[in-house]
Amino acid sequence: MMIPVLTDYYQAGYLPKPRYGTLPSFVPNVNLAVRRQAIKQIGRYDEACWAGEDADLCLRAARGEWDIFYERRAVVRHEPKHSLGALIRQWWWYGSAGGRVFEKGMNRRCEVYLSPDARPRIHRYLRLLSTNFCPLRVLVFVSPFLLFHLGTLLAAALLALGHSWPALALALAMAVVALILHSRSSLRALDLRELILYATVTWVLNWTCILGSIVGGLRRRMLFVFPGL
Amino acid sequence: MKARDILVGLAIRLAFPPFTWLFRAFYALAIRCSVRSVRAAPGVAAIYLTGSMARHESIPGLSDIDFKIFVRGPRNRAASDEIRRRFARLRRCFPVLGPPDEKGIHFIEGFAADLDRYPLLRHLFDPRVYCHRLLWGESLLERLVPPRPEGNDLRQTLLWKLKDWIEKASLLAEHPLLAPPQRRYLLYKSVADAGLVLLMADDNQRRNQGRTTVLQELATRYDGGVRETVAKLLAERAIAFRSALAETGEVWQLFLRLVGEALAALGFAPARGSASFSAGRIAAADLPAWLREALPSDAAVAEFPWRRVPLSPLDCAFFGRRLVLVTLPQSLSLAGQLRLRAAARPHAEETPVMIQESGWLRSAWCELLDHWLSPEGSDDMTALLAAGEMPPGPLAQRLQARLAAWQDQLDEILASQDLARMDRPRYLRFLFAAMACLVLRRSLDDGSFAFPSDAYGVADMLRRETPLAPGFIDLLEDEWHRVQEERLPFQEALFHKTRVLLQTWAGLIRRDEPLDRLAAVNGIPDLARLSLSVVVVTRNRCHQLARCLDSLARQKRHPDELLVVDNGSSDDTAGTVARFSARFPVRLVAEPIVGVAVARNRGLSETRGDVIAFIDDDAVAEPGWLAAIEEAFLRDERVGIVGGSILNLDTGATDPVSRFFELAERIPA
Repeated sequence: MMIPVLTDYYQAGYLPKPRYGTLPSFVPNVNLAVRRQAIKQIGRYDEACWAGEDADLCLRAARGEWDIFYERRAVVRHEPKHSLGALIRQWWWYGSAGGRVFEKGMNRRCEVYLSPDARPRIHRYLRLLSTNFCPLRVLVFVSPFLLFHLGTLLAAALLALGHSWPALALALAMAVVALILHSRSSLRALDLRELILYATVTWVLNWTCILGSIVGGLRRRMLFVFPGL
Repeated sequence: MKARDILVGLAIRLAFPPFTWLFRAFYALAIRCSVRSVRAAPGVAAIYLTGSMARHESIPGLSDIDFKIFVRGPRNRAASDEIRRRFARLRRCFPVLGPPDEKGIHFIEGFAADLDRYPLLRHLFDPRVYCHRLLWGESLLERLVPPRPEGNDLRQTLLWKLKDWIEKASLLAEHPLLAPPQRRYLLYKSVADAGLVLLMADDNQRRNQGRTTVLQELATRYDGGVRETVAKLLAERAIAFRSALAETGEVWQLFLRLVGEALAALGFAPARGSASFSAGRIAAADLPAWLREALPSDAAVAEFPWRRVPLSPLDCAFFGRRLVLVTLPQSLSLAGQLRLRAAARPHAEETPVMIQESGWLRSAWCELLDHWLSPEGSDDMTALLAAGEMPPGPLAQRLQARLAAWQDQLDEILASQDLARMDRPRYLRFLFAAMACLVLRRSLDDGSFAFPSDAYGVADMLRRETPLAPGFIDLLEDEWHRVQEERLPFQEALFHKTRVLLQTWAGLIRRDEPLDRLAAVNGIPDLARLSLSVVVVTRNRCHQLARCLDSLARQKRHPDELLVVDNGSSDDTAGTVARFSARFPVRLVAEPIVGVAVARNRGLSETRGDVIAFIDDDAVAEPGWLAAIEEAFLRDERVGIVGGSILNLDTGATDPVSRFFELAERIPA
């Protein structure tokens, strides 16, 4: 979610300014142009960032007096990774190294973001919770992907405890919700084989990024859960 | 299908008891909710219900709920916007609420003066025509509204009402956006209101007891065809316009007849006006034969080429591009106009005709300027529809007042420095409106009122009377044409120069600066440029790097500086860059410390451009990439970072991961 696969999802225009303490939308490094004057003011890339240095730069620019403009007509075509292994490595990298940006940009100890739609629109996050109670720094992005897996986990737990009917009901309800979400989402454009391929790769990448972010976050003594797509 | 259409369909098919109660309850709920929401807006003093709802003759599904809202204090855009916002929100739940812009929002301070100046406003509060029911707040109408208009005043207000209905009926009666029952209802309303004017012209003490009563009275006054049509209309009303009983043509004829008689009863004599336009004239021989016949013999016709016609977006939406605009330098009597309209109606399909007297054309220009200058640039069609009215009073005074208001707005927009954020067509309109301000100021000083009818006229005048370079004005005029006609984006490069022009302009309009100051604008080059450096960071990808550099050499706008940062490659990167440097000047620096951020920082320190554009070595830039980035930086000084679309490079691979990226691109956002 932090590194969108493709960023043709925005309309041309100014990206929204972040409220203080929240994470803004950003433009990825692949196709990024910066004004020298801005660099002089906000500083250069943070060399301690192993990934997400573009997000960090945009965050500093947007918190300063600069604006970020998304120009749809400036098109760059990026070569996709050719093997699943390379893609997984890339997303593990994004997940495990991305925590640094959030650690820098976050001024609270606990932050939970809810992304109501599955598309990589980082500026759509709704901040749910921002308190100071956690001993550990926590940053969680809640996505339909995570919610769905939480539901599955709950159903499995219920089944294991012997409550088979509630487990079945929960599983059914989730299937219905999944169907409704699918029928409303733009994934309808794909046929079944394409859908399976897309969903599988997305699933793998999501888990890669989540696990990567948890591992990378724990190394920094923070709980950082970050779903990929 | 819109919620409104569904509701109309449902309501008129279910116009019998249990459902009518339901709809009535829905209307009542809509009114309650609107009152609760609007009264919380700051400054609202009173809310009145008006229109057919207040007269208890509403038709479920067809009638709108109209309010008149009084706000404390002087005219205040923020307050009316707040109320409109609330209405826009309410309309999502209650489509039966009238469009928020038609809501009469009146400001108590200055209301009396407005009432004095605008006959239409007096008419809107004439208790003989409109019913008002106080829903909330203090009872202001008794205090604010003076005795009903009489005599000449009454004639004027009734005339305004007729004009209003002629416009509405001729524009909307066959408009495809309205559902057929809505069109029938509109025609019914126009006939009934024309009848009401006729009856009021005869007996000015008469109270409006609703449209049905008016039609019943009309039926007793006439016999033959008219009575039959009226009876059909009444029958249609009784079945809530579920099906058509009266033919549209027949009703339209009745409407024209009633308007004609009402005009005669009001004793309205056409005003004589005179005007001259600098725009090109087309000989009357080019007009369609039927139109030539319909025009009175003494009428001199000026037909304006389409692009010179100051049409509002509303007009364009209704008429499309094939419009013939007949402008009568002599103002034609209303009856004459009606004859023309009646003649034009059968031909409306192939040649829509818009008839305007010169006075109207001029006022349309003023209104349009007003519209351009409004900071919000309210693009609502209804606002434009309502803006057809010019306040009475000596022209010069009116224009002076208008000019003063424009100047304030102009200064405000210039001071806010948000010019760069205006979308470009609007910016261009704003620019021309500002120029028109100066032209108007000069013509007022001369006492000539010979101001141009459109943006092209403005350009003509600038060419004649200002020291601006003719080439620059041509450029502006072409730009205007392109943006208006072909809907092309505005040239960002022009923006830089026009912004300086605008700053000078504001001083000129206030008479702070002499006209020769404008000559300085000529010295600014049209095309402002930034120096662009492109940095490619690479590591062990010499094949992809060659492809990337190749795409950079084929940019429409060449990079001023091209730098490759070699981040510890062990392959033939140096050789690739050396081979490429024969084609395009490129510099290679080696950064031994591996890391994206480190390498990019090296790129930042090695380059000298105003803007540094980064691209990955495995990406390919499209030819317009740099030009688009430069435009984005030029448009606004506060833009620090520009990002662009990242699309999938089709390499022809068919493995699952490539397929995955293809699919990701195919899914609509």
